[in-house]
Amino acid sequence: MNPAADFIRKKFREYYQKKGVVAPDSMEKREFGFGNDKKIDYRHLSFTKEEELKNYFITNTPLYASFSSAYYEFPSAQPMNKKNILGADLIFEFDAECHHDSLTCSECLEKAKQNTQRLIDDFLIPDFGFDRKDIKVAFSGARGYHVYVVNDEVKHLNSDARRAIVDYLQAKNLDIKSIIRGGTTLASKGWRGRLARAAHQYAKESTDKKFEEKEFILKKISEGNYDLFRGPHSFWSKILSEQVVHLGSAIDQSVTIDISRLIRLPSTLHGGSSLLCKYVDNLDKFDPFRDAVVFYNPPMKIKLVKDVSEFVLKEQTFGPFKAGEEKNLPEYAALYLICKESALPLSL
Amino acid sequence: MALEDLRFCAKYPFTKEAKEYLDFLKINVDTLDDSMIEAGATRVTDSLGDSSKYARDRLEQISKAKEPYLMNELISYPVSKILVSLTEDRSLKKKFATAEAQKVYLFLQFEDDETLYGIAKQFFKVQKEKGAFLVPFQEYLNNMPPEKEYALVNVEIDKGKVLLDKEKLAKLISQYVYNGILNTKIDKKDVKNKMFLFFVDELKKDRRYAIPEDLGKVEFEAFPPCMRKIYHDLQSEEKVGHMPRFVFSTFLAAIKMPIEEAINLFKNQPNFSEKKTRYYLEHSYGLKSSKTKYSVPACSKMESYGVCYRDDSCRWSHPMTYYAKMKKVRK
Repeated sequence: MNPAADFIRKKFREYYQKKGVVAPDSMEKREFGFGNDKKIDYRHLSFTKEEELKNYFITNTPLYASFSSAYYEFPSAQPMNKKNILGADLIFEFDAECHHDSLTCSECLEKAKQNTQRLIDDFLIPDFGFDRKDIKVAFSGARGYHVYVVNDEVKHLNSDARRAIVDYLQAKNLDIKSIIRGGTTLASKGWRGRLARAAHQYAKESTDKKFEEKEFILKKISEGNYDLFRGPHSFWSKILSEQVVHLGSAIDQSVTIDISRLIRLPSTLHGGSSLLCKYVDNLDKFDPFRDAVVFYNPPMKIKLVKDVSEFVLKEQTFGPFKAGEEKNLPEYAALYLICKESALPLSL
Repeated sequence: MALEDLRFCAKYPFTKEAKEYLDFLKINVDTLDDSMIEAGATRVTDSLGDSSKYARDRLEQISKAKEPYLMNELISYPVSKILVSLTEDRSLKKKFATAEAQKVYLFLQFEDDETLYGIAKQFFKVQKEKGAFLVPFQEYLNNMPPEKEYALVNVEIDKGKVLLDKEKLAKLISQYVYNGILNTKIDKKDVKNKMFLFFVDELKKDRRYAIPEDLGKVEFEAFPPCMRKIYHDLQSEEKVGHMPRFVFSTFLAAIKMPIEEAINLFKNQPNFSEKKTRYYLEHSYGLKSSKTKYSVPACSKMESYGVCYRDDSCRWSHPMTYYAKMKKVRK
């Protein structure tokens, strides 16, 4: 557990007293789970009124809060099969797989953002036909984004169907041969068309001798002739890796597939960062290190317990700091370091 | 009913026409006589052999068949569905469902567009457009045939609709029939006619097709590569994730390793807690209040869980089949 857990809780409580927590849609049918030590220490909780939920955060103030993508008749019943599942939202998770040194690695979060955007613009809307208004994006409060598809049509997809969607996004089991075989044109739908258009684009831009007679070759491709792309599969695997949605690890994928999973609750704080998990309206303009910072400016004294390289919050640069140093930082930056277990509070 | 209408009902006993006709004849579970139940049991037994032969034989007969054969085909279908459900034997259900689905798929190949469309409309919100059939992707996914060519990635999908040709639509219907058989659940307590239970017992006696329930002594050497890997990881001090632990515990439950021995396998883990391990294992073994016994995931699922460590020895699609076959070979 974070050695400063009590301090963090006190700060979080102050925040919840002022700002409260927003109940998710159909709150009374959702299961909730909370954690202090781990992300989820206890689950199978439920709330019937928004007031109850708000009070819970003021009284207990968990450092991590999650809710179910599933709707249940009896959300607090145990074991799972007694809950009687009524349906579930469709969720995708994009985590920045960051191995960089920085505490606020915007480069990696940017990649997660691009993948999120591509999932929506290239797949969820054109292929799956979802309405933009049914798609919500949330910043998780830490390393990534969650995409929610909330409508009656997805509610009843079973786990196998959800797995098939994950496989689709990653072009798993794609039968390249059947695409090259013909019948596939630039106007084809789904992966067939996507690959045909990518091949066309490739031929158009390529300086390879093979593609010298541009006009003739492009016409051939438009007619569904992929003779020039036969042979080694390296071409197609290159194209594929550019086109797929990188959903990340098997763990991230299981968020989509396993409908009993709990996901971070928007409008709550993340105990590992002090950032707010929140819905994002304009993903393009969203900067988590500016827009999800909710604490305030008054300075706070901390002692560094780890070396910290330079980081940016609220468009201000901090650090680098050495372990053992004592610093006066704005509350939001101090709390960020404390949540990351890089510093301890000196003033209470 | 005209003979041709009856023939339709006999070919497609899962359609609303067939059900309405049975209702009209007042044939239901409580009015069935013993010979009808026996006919259902015979149908199940027939289906356990070569499923394509099952389909072909029926195709050959049905076009020229007279009323008694057609009536038998119509009535024995719901009966056999009830019987296989009552056996609670998943492999038997699958075998029967495969044969029936194959039959439907074959029959549908010989139908014109309109007939096919008419049947499809009973189960899917299907539309016909420019020679293609459009099915909402949700309905498609819930009935997606397992073969690679039907994977969503290999069919065309546009604005939420999957584009299918006649053959693919026929396949989708047959998969719907397959799922319907697998998902039929009937409680023994609701069955008043004891003849059902008699034939269920008969069917259970003939279980040559199934993996033997008692696999005998646990043999590590017969473990599939995935379970071997998790087993070795557990022995090292490396922390093993939740998913591998979970699938491994379902496997231990399936091969009936005594729970005390199973707990020992987790002992080397850095965060080992006997209490927690026992709790989780008891869940997997179906010993907890819910009595749900989780089954070992098939290879395809293992793969998407990220715990498939396939090697050349993997010739089956399920870790349990691997284990059962390897045990047999080693004898």
